[in-house]
Amino acid sequence: MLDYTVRRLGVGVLTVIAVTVVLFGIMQLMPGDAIRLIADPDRIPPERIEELRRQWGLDRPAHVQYFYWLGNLLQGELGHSIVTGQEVGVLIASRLPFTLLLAVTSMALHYAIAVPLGLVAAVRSGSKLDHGIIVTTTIFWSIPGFWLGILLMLLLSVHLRWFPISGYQGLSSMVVPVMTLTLPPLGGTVRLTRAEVLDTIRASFVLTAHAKGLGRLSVHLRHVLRNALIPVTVMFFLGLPWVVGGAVIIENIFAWPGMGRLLWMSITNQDLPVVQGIMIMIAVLTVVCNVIGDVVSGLLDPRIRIALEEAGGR
Amino acid sequence: MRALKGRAVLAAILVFALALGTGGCPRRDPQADKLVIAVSAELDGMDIQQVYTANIVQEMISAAPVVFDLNNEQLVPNVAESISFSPDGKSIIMVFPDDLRFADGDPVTGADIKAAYERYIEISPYSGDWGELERIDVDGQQVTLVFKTPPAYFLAVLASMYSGIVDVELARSVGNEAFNRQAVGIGPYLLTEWVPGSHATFQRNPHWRSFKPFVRNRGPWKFETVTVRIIPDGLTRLSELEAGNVDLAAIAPEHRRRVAENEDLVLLEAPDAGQTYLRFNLHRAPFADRRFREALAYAVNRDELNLALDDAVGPIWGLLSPAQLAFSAETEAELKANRPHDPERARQLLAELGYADANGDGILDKDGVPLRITLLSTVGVHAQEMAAPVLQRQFQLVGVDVAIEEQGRPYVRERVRANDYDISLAAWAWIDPDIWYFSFHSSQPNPIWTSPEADRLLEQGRVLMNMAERTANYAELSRRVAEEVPIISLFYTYVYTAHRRNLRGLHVAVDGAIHYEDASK
Repeated sequence: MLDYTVRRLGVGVLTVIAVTVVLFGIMQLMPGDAIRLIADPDRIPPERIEELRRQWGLDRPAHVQYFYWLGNLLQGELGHSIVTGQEVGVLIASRLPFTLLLAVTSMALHYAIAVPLGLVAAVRSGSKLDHGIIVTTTIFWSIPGFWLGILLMLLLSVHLRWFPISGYQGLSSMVVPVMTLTLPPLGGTVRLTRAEVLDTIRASFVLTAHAKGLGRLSVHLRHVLRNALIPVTVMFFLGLPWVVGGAVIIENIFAWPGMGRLLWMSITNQDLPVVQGIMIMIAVLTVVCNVIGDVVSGLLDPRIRIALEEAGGR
Repeated sequence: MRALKGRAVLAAILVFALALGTGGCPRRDPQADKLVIAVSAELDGMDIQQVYTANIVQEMISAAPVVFDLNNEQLVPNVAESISFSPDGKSIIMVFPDDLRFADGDPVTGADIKAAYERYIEISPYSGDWGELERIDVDGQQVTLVFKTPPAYFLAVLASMYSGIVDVELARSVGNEAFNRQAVGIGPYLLTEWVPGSHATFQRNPHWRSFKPFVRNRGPWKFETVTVRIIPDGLTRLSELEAGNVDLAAIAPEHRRRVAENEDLVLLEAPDAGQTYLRFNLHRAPFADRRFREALAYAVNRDELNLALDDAVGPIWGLLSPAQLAFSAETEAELKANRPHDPERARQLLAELGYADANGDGILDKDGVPLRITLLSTVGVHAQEMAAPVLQRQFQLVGVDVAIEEQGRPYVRERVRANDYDISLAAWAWIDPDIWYFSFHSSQPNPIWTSPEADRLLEQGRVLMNMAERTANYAELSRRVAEEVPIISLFYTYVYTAHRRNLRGLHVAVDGAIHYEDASK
């Protein structure tokens, strides 16, 4: 298992480097550069614009810029934002806690709600309760996140005044954004859990457990849920990195000072060092979460562990 | 013993009176000392000399020495006690008060102000604004900016946030990067906290003094703290304002009617100091022909544009909006009369150029080639997104087939720079008409159009210190441009701001700039 994990991490490093090359290439395909984009051409003379481009190394060939950036990265330097002049690491560090707070809370809440609902729906398959759970979560699934966010804000914050409308003002200000991030994807996870549980319930080892005289709850929790949760666990770890950078619209609506807004602003301003910094972080997080997902699923299911070890040995 | 008793009674009465007096005072609302402002744009930094886009936070930290009066007609003192000009007009003389202090309490000398401007020239992206400066002389608290020529174009720079004075000694000791996070200047407030993407909080500068002639309060602002919150979404900003969590907020045009209907809110409306216009690529046929451009100018119906933009814009025929320096309402009226919406005249001009609808499909053609042009527009710019299809329809009505090409800002800028376009929607905002120097002067790398006469007028406009003469100068330039039609001026947008009704005493300039000295809740 250790051998396999090390191999996966090695591949992960190569993946991260590939991501940087692709991303750098895409950003280079965009016309102009950050200075030409943000510097007001109606107020800044062209010679000053060229001076600023030289200052930021934007006049150098793309491959030179890339290797210079990669060299700095290997020394732990993410560079400086062209727009704000601040260290990229400092910029990311100022936003990351807010995003993690929102992302981890909503992910945890999402699975804490979805898995039991999926289990109940499967156990009571075909009942009114099952239909009720599926229909309700599908309704949330069908509503665009930004629209749900606005509706929840108008209802809970503006009319009922239960929570702050926007910005980070303590834990109470998290409630509505977390609900907005948690509710829409419930439908998918509930259905996945339900399907996995239904598959597992019919497995012979579950019948054996029942035949041994184990209680119904014990069978469902120890035998059914543990096996059914494997794909759900993998989904959790695969989804986490993109919640970190992907909540742009929700962060905009709730004026949440997170990474999504920083990434969006940096892309529109062609602030390459910041975009690269955030993408590197997401790529690393993706690789790490993938490996963690594999390890956890291996721990949950010995068959997977053995298969992985065999694959690692070859 | 009797005297002692008498004193005790007197003391008791005094204590009672004091308690009664205190208790009888109306309780002051704790929120009255706090001002919360909501803006949409993210903050690039706190140091005005390092940022590309200024924001109200820079005004709090590093106030400009002078400002324009509420009608944008003449310069008046702000931090400086007085401003005057040398007889030859080449020198701007500003006198600062002896007891001037930075917001952290450090004294400010004339040498500090000189150092601040030298740093501006050294590091600001807008250092080109100071290109005509010869030297800065300091005599005590008197600072004289000596220019090679009378710097008429520079007055707008001097009155802008970009000329705010910062503590250079502190900037040097902590480094530019750190200073951009915690800048200190001579403004009315001291930055106490900045959470990027969220808010910036300021503490009142007790040393602040303003010499603006149109404000009553010359001392510190009336709010102990000011918080500037960044709320990108228009509806969220409005909701915060309606809920009373925010005192003043920028309002999206589509929300202005809702604000106007709310009795708790006051809507402020002002024309932007800029305009949206249609730019022709004169390097390409048929746009190189003045008559073709003129035909399209006759085809434009600004009333329809106004309708499409929900009355949130004002039509414009000349080079300047009403909020800009040297604007002339008479010139606007004259240009409007000379170039009315006249589709028949447009068709006639196109016919004179040899265009005819040979196959009866409604599109003109010449030598068998249909008249098709492309309109380049910037995606994400609301005014352009709404205006482009209206213009497309108006040009089609005179027989010109128009394809709209919406691109991101970087693509549009590069295409225009490379002259790879037919016609393009463009916009800018700056209070001084000298902004057109970059578009029409032959010394520029990619001017839209040039002529010796336009060069002369643009050069003259930079040095004419008398506003009446300057207005006449730019009126003449507007006429020349209207004759040659290298651009079609379309409209200026309105800037909307709203505040809670209990916020009183704001002074609002013609371009929507707000002065807070007398404001209170």
